[in-house]
Amino acid sequence: MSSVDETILSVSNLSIGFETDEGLIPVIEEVSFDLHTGRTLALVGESGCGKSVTAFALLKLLPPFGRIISGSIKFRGQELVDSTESEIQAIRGDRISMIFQEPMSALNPVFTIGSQVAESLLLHRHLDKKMAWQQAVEMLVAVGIPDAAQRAKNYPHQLSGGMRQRVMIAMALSCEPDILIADEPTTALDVTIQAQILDLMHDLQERFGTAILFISHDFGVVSRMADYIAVMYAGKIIERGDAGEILTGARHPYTCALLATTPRIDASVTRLPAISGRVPAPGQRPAGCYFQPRCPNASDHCGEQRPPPVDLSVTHQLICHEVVSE
Amino acid sequence: MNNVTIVDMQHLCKTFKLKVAGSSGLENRELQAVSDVTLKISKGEILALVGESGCGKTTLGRMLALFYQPTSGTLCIDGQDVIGLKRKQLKPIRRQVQMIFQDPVASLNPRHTVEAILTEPMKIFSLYDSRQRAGKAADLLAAVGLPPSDLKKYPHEFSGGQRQRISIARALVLNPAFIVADEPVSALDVSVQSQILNLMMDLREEFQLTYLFISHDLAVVHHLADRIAVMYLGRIIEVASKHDLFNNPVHPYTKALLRSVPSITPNKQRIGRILQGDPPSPLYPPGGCAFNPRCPHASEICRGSLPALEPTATDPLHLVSCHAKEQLV
Repeated sequence: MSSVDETILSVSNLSIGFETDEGLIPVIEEVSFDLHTGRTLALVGESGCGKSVTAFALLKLLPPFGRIISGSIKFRGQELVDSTESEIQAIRGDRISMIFQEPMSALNPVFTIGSQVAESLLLHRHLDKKMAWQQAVEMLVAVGIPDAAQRAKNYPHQLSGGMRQRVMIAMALSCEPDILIADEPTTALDVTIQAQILDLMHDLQERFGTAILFISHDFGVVSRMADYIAVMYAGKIIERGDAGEILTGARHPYTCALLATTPRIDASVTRLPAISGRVPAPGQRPAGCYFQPRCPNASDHCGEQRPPPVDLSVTHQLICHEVVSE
Repeated sequence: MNNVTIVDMQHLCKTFKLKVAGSSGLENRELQAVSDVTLKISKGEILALVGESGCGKTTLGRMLALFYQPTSGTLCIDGQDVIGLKRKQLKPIRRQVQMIFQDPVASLNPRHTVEAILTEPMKIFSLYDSRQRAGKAADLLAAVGLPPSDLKKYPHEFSGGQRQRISIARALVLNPAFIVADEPVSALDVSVQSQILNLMMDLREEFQLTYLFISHDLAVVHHLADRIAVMYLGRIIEVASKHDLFNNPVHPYTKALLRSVPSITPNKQRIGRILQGDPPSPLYPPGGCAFNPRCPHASEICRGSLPALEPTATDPLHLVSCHAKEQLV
């Protein structure tokens, strides 16, 4: 097992486009981030900002019309962008695995949950069937499925939503991956069940030292999970930093607005500050800063030039014309 | 807020008949989705109904919106008993009660223009001539923040937030007194969500509306509600003003629910002390208090008998259904 904080995956200047009738439209633009063992990076943003596309690209699971235009994804020194399908298959589900938002549609309804957890063990660990089943049951115990030996023989429809998400996590972690990508893993769940799943992910990260890429639109959930936060807007990371730097010291106008507009139970406001307008669609992104049409602090040059990167600390960076480093 | 009751529920129940796979083929079973709900909603207030999925909050909302006939109990809307009324007799009451749905895509007919969607309720009630109807539709669009040119567009031309604005405009066409909003913002992004919540607050002033706001999101409810009712497995287990519910929750389930809500402070750690297990299936409810299998305070009496929804000793307006409530206050 690798030591905590070792950089295990490095994404640099990744750009992704979608082929359409109007040509190749950029969806993700020059995204860079690192994942560290035993640490969680949260990618936060509204729908359509490209956070899921970024995650899918790490496993080369882009839709047929998706193209990686430029950039690199280095996993333990190995370049994934130009690796072959079979090289990726050896990594996918073994070293890097993923859990999805909707546990019902991500599980196969006609196989027992035990066999679905055992599948990656058969494939990647080359265990015999009996051993794989046994380990699958142990994994189901680890994720807190009561009476796991019996439950392993159940089909997905016999389980509740929270239990299904536990099974998804068991599947993803069965080969003890280095990286777990969690795409809105608790969005479909009730809040008490969400709390259970978040606590479970904490325990498992501690036990296996997994690096987690946690994708969410919910700052509340993110504050529970993240060591680092990167905020995405219209295909770009517009601000990044340690969780504390973002949650209490955000400087980008979009991050500030997003935090202010989130209703919370520990503060009362008579009126929520709203962000006017909407996220520009890919292909209709404005010149200059993408947030400028909605930005309360925008000045003339924001609409003309791309905003420069600004370093506020070693870890805290953003792109904005109007924020200057002290 | 005045204290005129606009919706009065007494012992309201809704049972669905289902066929369930059992040991000897399909068995007929009854699912009690809503049990014995007694609750009043005052004119002008926002009552939030919170609870986890499957707890019956939508079923209760749909009974109040006159979509479902209650199985038993009484329901008065604006002083009129609606139980047992015929279709024709119900029609004038339907003008008073409208609904806003969760999914703005599924709740607008994709083949109708916005104008057709907004004028249809007026046609059904034979209000105004066609020119006036179009004018009224444009006024309503303006009230929800959309330009009159949008009348000629179809639902697919709008974003999720704009579609929810159209749904809200449609709900206002007949000038209702009472609106059931079933998770109206849970499908929306947070920046759009705040726009819609602000709009709903503005319209409440402008049109003197009363809302039943159904939600699973306690942070949204905290922002918006005057009073909150918590549901668990078909029953109301706690009702209190927003301030009391968030500051002095009594029922162990309400407490667990509040603890589970993540707050926006940097604290990467386990939440801890959270509720374990899943809510029981309403097909096979546990005996006694429905919460007893998950409750840390459960004792013999909780497994044996159902606690009544009663005021706490200190506050006549704070109702709790729990055998141990006096120890938990």
